[in-house]
Amino acid sequence: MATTYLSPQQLKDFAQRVEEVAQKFPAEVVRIRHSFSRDWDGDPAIYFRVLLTDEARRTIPLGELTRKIEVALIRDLALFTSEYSIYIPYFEFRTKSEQDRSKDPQWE
Amino acid sequence: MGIAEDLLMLAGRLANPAPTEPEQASFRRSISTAYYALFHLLVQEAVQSWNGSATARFGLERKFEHRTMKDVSNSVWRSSWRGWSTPSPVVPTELEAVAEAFVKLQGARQQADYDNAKTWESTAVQAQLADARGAFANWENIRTHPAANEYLLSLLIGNKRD
Repeated sequence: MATTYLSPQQLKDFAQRVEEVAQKFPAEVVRIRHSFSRDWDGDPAIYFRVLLTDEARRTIPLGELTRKIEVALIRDLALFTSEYSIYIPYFEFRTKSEQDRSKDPQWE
Repeated sequence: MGIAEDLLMLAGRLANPAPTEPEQASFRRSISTAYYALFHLLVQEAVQSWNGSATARFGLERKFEHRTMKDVSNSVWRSSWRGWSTPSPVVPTELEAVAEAFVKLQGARQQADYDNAKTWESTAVQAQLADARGAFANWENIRTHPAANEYLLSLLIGNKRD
């Protein structure tokens, strides 16, 4: 379900900024994918799919690793202080080796 | 150890299934159980100051609604929540983290319980578990804070209206 109130240009800009956040973590993040949708309650939501490097997963405590990426996404995308504030952000993490095995197209 | 702590421990076990156990079913139950661990932690904290009968306390526990708790927690997470006293209590970062974990775990729990097309990977499950454990630790640090007390009230009756 690709529900969004944002214009094509806004979506493009948003995707660019997501990419910029991913580039801030070259040792930890392979890529970040996202989609605008609704959660199970019907609330507008942004689902972030963060692909981690296996090295980061091995060497950094998971809670610490996910926390700094989530904080960066919320802050840099102004998720609580902009037109995106109606969306609830949800984050899911997997490693590159997990994705190589599952080959989920939503994570490519 | 109460039911909340027991559920959190069980969620940890389910997140690491033995090779002979069904992985996806275990992962799904782990996420769902981690959410309910936090849910029961907060509900128990909210009703423990009730001085009425145990029966009445159980009845009060049943009045907590997932939807209301999500809305309140979402407000706390994004710093738009207002407490019940005037001036509104300052919200410690630990409480924001608890509220954030509640919202995210509830969303993950709904996916885990209802979206059978989704495949869960171990890292995703461990991340949800880390959120739940972090919420328990943060709650322990701020459970006597005035904002935490008013948050619990809001979880029962909803966000304060203008």
